[in-house]
Amino acid sequence: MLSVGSFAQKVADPNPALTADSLATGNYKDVLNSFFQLAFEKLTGDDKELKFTSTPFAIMAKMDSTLLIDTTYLKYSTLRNINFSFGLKFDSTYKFNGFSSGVKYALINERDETVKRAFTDLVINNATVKELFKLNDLMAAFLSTLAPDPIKAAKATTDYRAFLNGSKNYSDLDQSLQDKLLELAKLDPSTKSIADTLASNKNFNINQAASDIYKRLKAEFNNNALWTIGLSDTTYKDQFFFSNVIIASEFLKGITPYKNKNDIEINLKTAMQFVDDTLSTGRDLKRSIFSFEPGVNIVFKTKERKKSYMEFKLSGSYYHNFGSLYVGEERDRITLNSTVRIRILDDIWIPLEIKYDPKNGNLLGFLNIRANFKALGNVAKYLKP
Amino acid sequence: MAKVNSKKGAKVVAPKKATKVKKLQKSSLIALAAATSAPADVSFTFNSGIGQATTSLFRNGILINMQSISSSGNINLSEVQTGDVISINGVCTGTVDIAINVSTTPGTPEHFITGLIMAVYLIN
Repeated sequence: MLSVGSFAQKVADPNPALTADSLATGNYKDVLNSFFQLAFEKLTGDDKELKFTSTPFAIMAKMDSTLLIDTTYLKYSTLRNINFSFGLKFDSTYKFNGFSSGVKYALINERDETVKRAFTDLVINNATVKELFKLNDLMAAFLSTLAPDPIKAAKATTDYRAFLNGSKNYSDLDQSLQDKLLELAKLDPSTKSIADTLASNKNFNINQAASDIYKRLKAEFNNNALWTIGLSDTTYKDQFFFSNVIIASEFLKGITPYKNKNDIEINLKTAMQFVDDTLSTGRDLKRSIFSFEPGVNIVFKTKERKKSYMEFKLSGSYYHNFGSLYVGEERDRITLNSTVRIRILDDIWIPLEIKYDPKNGNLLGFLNIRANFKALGNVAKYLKP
Repeated sequence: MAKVNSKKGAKVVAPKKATKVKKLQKSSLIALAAATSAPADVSFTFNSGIGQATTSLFRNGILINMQSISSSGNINLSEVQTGDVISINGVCTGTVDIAINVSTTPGTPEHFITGLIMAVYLIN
């Protein structure tokens, strides 16, 4: 039997095929975005932010879609590995509280399957994919023998194409075509698994099977390493002067095989933050704080389609203050953090962040909404009644 | 009927039956260009990511031509006839538009989304 997940006894899924963006984990998309992200950060806190993140390539491609053609697309890998962001900050009463901006670059991005020949080779050489391709060739050869009867040839081709594109299950085909498919699959030893599947599952949908294999292989590939470095800053609301500058680096890698029901990613973050020292007069960036945050991100997936619907990130943070200490402040501090991300739509995640200081017993929570979308116009479809 | 050798004492050997060689017909050559043959171009345009595909041409159940492509471009099939079938197998990490410059069932251009590419086209 084809080992492609449980599509047995089911009709073709009426929902459109999952897109590459919808398959990515929320944590991955927060670290490096491929096209556009609009985020509402810390909605329940005193320091709210409306932030837009994109890549230079996405902006260029919006103006010139020919850049998306693969031969040109490949030349812009560097621009796609850069994320820039800008945002508006608001206080607790939603009054304007300054601008923010940032730039991030992926030093290592082994997850971008759109430019990796290793990924397409992985797909083409998959045993189940080879079986599907072989069956397609066997059917094409058979259809070519119907040439003396053009009407019969056209009807059989149209029927078979409906099977290929998923609008018909195996059982919806003409009986003669069903019998021929099964006969061809049985004749060739290299299509034995498909023959067994067709014999036992009349509702087999080849398009769904092909989609499931591709998604599985892509998700496995997306477990590869990602390492970014970045710079972000915030200005004062009454002066275009930096109140906060952060230099950060982040590493992400999946450590469990995709066949597991749930994925685990390791997530390492380190940062150097420069903020205004309020103990000295004037505005400056003399207060510097180093932080290191190791963590794991657990991705919960649906059983059959392996689509992530919720993520739980657990991490610890270590802070060291190189500058002057305020009253009651310690040189070193440790917190425990967790972030729960819930996917409410394919491209929209709600991350809820909680920080806990075990020494002082302080608990802080931040609610965000992040929407990842390839075209700003996609937002409109979610708003349609 | 065996020939009888007129010379005395000579042994008579019945000649072997000549093997009948079937005369080669034009229709024996599947790949022979016919009056109705025409060249066809299969063009691939991969967008938002790389891809690769293999195009195979079948006639009367026989594989006539097979070519592969791993970036946007054209595959040229020098001779296609009515009733031939083109199969396409491949993968695209973004999307791909496939167009054939002769009349086919189903018609082209066709747009495929991310994933495996599996298609057949009947030459009209």
